[in-house]
Amino acid sequence: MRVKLLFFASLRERFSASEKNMEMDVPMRVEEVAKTLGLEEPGLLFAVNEELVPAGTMLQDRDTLAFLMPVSGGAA
Amino acid sequence: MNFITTRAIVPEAFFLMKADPASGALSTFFGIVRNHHQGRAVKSLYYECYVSMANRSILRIRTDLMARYGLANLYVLHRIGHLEVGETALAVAALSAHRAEAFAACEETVERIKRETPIWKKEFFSDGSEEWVRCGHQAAAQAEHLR
Repeated sequence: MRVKLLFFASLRERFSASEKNMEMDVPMRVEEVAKTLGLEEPGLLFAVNEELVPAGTMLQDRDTLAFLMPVSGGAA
Repeated sequence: MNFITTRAIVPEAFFLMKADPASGALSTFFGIVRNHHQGRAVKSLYYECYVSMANRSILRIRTDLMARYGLANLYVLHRIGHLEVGETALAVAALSAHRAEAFAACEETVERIKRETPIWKKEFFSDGSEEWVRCGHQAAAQAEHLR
């Protein structure tokens, strides 16, 4: 199965990529993918197909997994 | 609906919206790039966004708040990319029959976007350094939301 990974902001800079494809022989949980990538930032959030999900979520073929650092929008 | 733009936001445009004869209140908020952050001089900002998820997030917030406050309309526009001091990053305008709902909806829209919408901000300081803004309490609020 194949999962698309998305990186933004500091993570995009760290991986020098805004997206990557990951091939998996067996289904993995979100937290396992994060660990494989060395992502253990406190407060890191995960979105699968644009919805926030718990770290234990099992990924499906063709899912899009985004790693979201704690956000800060707006200016004021 | 698209709530994200790379173009300059013109605040004046929000005051030229088509009048709604049933609405007696228009409350607006503009988030403007300021020249300081925690005592350090800021030169400019860079906003980055997960566009498709941010649009979904803002649409959800807008739908929730329009229903809760009975608004005639709720406008939201967030700019991304490189912004200079004084430029508008976020514009919100709530249109309702009475002022209480317009004030409350405008404030809650801004707070929820800051808390829920995947938009990141990098500060470029006058001393040449740069830093992505991280806010731990917001992550905690989001994590709580998932339980």
